[in-house]
Amino acid sequence: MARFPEEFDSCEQIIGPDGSYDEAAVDALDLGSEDLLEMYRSMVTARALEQRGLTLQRQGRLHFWMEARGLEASHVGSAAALDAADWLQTEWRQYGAHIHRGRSLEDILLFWLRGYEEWETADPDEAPPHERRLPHIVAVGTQVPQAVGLMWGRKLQGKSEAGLVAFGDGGASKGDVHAGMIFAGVFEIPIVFLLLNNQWAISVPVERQLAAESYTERAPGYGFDGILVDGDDPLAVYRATREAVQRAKDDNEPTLVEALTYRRAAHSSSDDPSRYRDEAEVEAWEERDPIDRYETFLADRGLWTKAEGERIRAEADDRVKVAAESAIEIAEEQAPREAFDEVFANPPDFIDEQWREFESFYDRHGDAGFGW
Amino acid sequence: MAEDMTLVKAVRTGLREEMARDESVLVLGEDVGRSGGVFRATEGLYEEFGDDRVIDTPLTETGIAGVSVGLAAAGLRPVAEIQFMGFVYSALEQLFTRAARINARSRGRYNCQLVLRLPFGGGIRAPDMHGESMEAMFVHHPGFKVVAPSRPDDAKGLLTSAIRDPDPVVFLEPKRLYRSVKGSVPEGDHTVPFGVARTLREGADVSVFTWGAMTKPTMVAADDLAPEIDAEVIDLRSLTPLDRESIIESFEKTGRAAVVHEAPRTGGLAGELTAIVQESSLLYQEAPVKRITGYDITYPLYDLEDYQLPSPARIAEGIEEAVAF
Repeated sequence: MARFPEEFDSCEQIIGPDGSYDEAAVDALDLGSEDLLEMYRSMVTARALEQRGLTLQRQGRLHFWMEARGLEASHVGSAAALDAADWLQTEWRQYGAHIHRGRSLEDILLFWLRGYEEWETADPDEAPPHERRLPHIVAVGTQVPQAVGLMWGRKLQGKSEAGLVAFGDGGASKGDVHAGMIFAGVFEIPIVFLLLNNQWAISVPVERQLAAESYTERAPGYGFDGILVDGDDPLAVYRATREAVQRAKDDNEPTLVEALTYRRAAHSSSDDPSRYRDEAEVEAWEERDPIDRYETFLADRGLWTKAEGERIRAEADDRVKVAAESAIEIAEEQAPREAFDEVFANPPDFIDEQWREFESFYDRHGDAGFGW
Repeated sequence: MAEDMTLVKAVRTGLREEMARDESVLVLGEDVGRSGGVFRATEGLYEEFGDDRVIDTPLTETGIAGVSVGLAAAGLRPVAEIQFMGFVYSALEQLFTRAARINARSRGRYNCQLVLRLPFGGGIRAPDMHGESMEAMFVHHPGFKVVAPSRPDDAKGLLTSAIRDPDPVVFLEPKRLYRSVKGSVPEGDHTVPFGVARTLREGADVSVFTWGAMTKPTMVAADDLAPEIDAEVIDLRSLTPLDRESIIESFEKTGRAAVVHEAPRTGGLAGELTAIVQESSLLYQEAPVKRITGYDITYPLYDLEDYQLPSPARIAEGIEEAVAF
């Protein structure tokens, strides 16, 4: 059975499921009104993108889509806690994190249309926040030691930057995560491990991944601290991640932040959750929706009205639509040569030889000669 | 100027000179620091370059490969040692899903300038997982370069090229030859380009293609067969990319070929070499290409090991078959 944050002895929360909040805790955060609203806009935009992506997939215009409804607080709250020079490695449904770091919606969608990503900057010291990442990797959990290595390298290069690497409750079972945490603890790597515990790995519930009370109990075993937070409370996620980022930069000490949330949506556009879980469980989590609760909070702070919310949603929907059309148009320009480019940085001759073999066939048959 | 040294010393010399030349080069792996590596390939580097650049890692090949990819993404030049090739299996997900494709998936933003040093091959009477020759695995997977020196000069030259190459390079070290071959190694900057085979012995009757430790028994066999059979022995040195030109040129000269590898036969590189000469030079072919390889069996250990590894007698008989057909 999925568990709620309230069932744990120490699951940090600032905004409760009903939108009531700890005023002193909010005031203690280094967040102004604009920061709070920016997080809201990112969450709303992420949801608009997620909905649009699913629609496009159903229309046959996207091959595949990862669903993410209800997970926005953990994605945005954690990204908001990073400084501009920090690094972020996400798992693949963290749309809100990329949006909050300034990545364009078009660029996010292009990954799903083309399977690769592009960077505008080659020099990491010139890279804007959204380009301070490695490309997405599908093999779950494998990004963890890679991100540790990246931050180890930046540390050896004398940089004072933190990295944040996110992965899920399923991914946490991979040996790669264990390996990455061992390295991070032993070599004092400035990194934050964000474990997005949404309690489902496709059809497998978290109790098949975890026999302990929480994932944070694993952290002391690696020599660092763990913080369990309500993953649907953007401010609790922000505060825990911010603390961890500071600790990484000040003391080269890693932290495991576990954001407890729930995957209300299907795993992906190919998944049918009715085969393995009870809809009543999902409904209980819809009551705790992170955007709804954040709106209640913002309204109480005088930062939000229903009309303003509707305007922001409409604007997000428009932006997403425009970005989607543009991304689809760009992706249509893909040419077969791309598949042969960039296999190597310094390609051996056989790449070009096989390209010429392909090209000769392609010249005679065109696209009609392919597929079956 | 040149100095006579063992193959393992040539590896060490190549590492030391590249570390001195480029401070972004670092060495990591199990036991590579204080102990100097189980084969002493990194001996003295820890004392010379310190523990930020010669790093004893936790015992996890997954971690070694994973952090190496990240270090390379940061712009450092990791040279990772996997103690024995048979220990690399847990790292394969990192290598196949990331090291070999990060350049493609990032459209060249992140290349993976990583050297993976893998002592490979059998014959040293070690326990299970210590005698593997799984080079075909890395040759089959797109994105890697794969090289295998058999001589000290090539060990230094190919390693130097590997460290400077922007792509992930699987550097196969024939552990049985670490101390059993000695040769002259050029001092100072010495590189050997990838994709260029070396003719160890010129001959007119049959082309014998091999690499790594198998060069040694193959040369013994070729010498034993002379002068009745004049075998040409080619050390491929580079398995990705292959030197197709030299392979084809030799085959068109002799019309007959044998491939010697200690890896199992099925799916091994002998099949690939056979395909290459048939596709390019069928009309020159006088006999079936003879595959002289390990058998498709679980690697036999200790005293049984010799039955798996091609020996001079087996190699000679195979060459004779290719010639007699």
